[in-house]
Amino acid sequence: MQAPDIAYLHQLIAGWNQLKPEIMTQYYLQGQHTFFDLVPLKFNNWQEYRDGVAEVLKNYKSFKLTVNDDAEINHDGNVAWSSATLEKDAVTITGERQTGTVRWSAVFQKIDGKWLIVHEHTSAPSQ
Amino acid sequence: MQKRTLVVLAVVLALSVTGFAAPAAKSAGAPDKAYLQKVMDGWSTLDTANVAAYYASGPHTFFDVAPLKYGSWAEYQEGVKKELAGYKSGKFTVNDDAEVHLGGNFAWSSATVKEELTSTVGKHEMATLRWTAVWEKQNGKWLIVHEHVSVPEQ
Repeated sequence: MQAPDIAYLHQLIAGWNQLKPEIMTQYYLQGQHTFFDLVPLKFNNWQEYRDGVAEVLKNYKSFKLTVNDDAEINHDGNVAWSSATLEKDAVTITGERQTGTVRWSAVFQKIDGKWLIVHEHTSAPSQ
Repeated sequence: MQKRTLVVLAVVLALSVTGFAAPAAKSAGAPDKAYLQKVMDGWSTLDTANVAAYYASGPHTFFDVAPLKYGSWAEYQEGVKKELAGYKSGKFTVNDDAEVHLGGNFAWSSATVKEELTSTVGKHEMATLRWTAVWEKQNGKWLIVHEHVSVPEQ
């Protein structure tokens, strides 16, 4: 498996846009790893992260993230890290439209030939 | 003989003083949890000059609590200076969940950080931040080449 690149970042976000967190399991390293999402404060492993996001997504009928042109990815041996801003366009089950720009940082590690996310930090800037 | 001894001692003393005056950034050894707190101790002075040594210059992306992003340490420093002008004291404490991972010439760390700030009008603010940092070893020094600091959405 080649190292993650910008196209891979787009693939990851396209996966999240399916609104089925379980399909993202293949991209994340299992075991104890810290993930920071928009909410809550943190998740301690992929299972918590997956379940937490699933709970949040219940409140939405559509949720779309788009990777902006400022995406970058760097590699060194078996480690890679990326950063990007993402455009968020979502509609809640009550019909409220939510738009904004969020920040996304990810750290990847090559394990048994697969590049997996070992840490991720997604956030919105404070108002 | 005594004069020669004095010269040697003077040289040793001069070298020792030079060592104590070394720059704040680590010149050997990868970042660890203690080093994360050292960075936060620098931020706690509310003077960006006390943390500049930890950050790589040149174009790098930094995400702070606000605004959306900075494109370099220079931008980051100027932006934070304006934010911190409204405060008279601060304390940032790295929580026990801090982790540091090493990989060749890169390292990455994550932690939640307890933030305590007092504004210039005496208002106390507390929050728990999330802190992610990517470090790169450049010319023997470990520098932050990407940082992401945030609070969860309300």
